[in-house]
Amino acid sequence: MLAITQGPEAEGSNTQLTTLVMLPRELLLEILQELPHAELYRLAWTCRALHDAALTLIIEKYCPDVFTRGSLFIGTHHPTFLMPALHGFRFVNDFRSMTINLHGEIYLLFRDLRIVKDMISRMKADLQSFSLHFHAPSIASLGRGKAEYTDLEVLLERLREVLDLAIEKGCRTMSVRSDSHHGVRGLYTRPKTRIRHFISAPIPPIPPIQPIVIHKKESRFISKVWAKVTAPLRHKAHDMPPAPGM
Amino acid sequence: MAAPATQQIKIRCNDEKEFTVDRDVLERSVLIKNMLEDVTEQQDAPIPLPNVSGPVMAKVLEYCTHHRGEPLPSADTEQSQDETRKRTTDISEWDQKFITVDQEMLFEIILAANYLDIKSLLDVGCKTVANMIKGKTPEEIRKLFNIVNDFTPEEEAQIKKENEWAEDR
Repeated sequence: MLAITQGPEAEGSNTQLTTLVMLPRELLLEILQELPHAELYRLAWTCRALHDAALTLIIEKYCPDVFTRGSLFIGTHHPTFLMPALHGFRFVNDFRSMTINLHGEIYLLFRDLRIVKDMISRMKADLQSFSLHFHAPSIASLGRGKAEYTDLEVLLERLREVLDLAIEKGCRTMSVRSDSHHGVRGLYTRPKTRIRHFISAPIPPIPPIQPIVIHKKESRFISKVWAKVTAPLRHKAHDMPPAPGM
Repeated sequence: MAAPATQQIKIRCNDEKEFTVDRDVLERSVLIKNMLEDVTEQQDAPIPLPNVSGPVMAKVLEYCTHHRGEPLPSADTEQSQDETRKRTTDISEWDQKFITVDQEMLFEIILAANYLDIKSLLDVGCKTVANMIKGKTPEEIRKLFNIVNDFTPEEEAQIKKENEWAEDR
């Protein structure tokens, strides 16, 4: 299922001592599943074989669809959700569909977009469906933190880069949604139930190739964002040739 | 072919070491239990166990003898699997003492328990290793298990970066 390297297993060699990393993969997973995920992350630092095993378990737990459906579905309300995905991409790069929920304060969106961009850049060029769900970030966070992380224009630029890259990777179905229900306070006012809903929602089957669809809702921040982002995207998606005679 | 409890079975390990063991002890191993059920005729030839060495088998038999007569866990109930996972640190005193062996033996026991299909022993082994890992830093884990850090510098930098992200909030 997973094209992950097996590590330096020396099966059948009697000259070497049996050690942890020489156990067959299924036994390694059996052992590691006893561990809480904070321990798994620490374990992932040690060497490749354990890194792969530990992250396999994390991904199976938090992003189970990664393996079963060839699609990636991530919510970032917990930052560790993005990490396994990122690692996963190092080994599994044949996702066709990618659904990502982003929420948090603006400076965190910078980071999250950077990670998403990194993920997309690792993919083979057959990403078919890319869905980004923005929860309105807290406007209150504007002006907080490092100056370069609070500039809306810069954020838009980053977002454009991500979407451009997705298109470059062959994406023809793109959905970008915002969540206006939270208002300016962002996700912090009504967080959990909605997030769970998103996390547990089944991934819809990949629809046939179609032009980019951008869902726009009313959040003031988001509509400002989409107004700027969608125009060049629409143009690209339709791949419109220049009008004749111009 | 109703087997009397005292029926003796011979097994032979991969180092030619042979054991003669009571059938009910050996039947802790689902693998051997199934083998014995498949063979209806009386057999004098020892059962070959090509994946287990004598010293490891002796240890495994010690475990099986201690736990003889206990009900075998039903292999395919999801619930029992969940329950065992909850009792992570829950290893009986005898088992704990039993599993206090050097690392190589510990992993050999895990491999043998897996091969022989002795679920309770496999659990004890896995939990023991998991407990060894708990609370340790990556460097301590490497040291403990003699693990070579085989990441390239780039990969290491990447992992470091990602862990910083994880601690960002």
